[in-house]
Amino acid sequence: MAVSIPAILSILESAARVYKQARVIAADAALAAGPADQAELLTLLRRISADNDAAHEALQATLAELTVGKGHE
Amino acid sequence: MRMRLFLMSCLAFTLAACGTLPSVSMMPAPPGAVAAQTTLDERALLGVELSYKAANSLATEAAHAGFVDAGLAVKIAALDNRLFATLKRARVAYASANAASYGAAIAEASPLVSEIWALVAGTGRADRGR
Repeated sequence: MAVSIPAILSILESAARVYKQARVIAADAALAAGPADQAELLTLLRRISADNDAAHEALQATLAELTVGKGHE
Repeated sequence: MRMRLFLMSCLAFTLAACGTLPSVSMMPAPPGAVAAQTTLDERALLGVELSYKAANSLATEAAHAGFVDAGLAVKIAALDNRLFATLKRARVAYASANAASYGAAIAEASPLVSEIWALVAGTGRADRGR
């Protein structure tokens, strides 16, 4: 099976982004599990909620693009 | 005689007062334990938000890397919509302090996150679709 160089680079870029995201999520999880008070937790909650709202919209748009013209709309 | 009556009434009042004291088990917990207890709801919601974030970023990157075909995209989109709706229900229940629906939404979110993980993790396997 031949895989092109750009395809490999794309996969590596995605893996790097997943790694970076995993580090951010791990840092946020450490904050959430740590000795933060309620105000700090609410600030964190507001930021992550806003991130998730945007991420949900973005993922749905990406997936919709993949189904366009494939009979799955 | 008057002194004895006075002492007896003092003793009676003292014993009566002791009855109104809280027992050891009813004493408030230490401040640290109380603080941890009062932030449990926030921590639980953060757990669900972070789980959603992890599942979402994995699905997004799998799609960008070309591992997701049209059929799988439809399945992931449906699961992501269900999980996001559950997340929104948890947010509303938290904001309105509705303990019953809050607990239900949090319990419902976890298997949905696992489903997305399983679906996306399977995209990199050579035997997928067999």
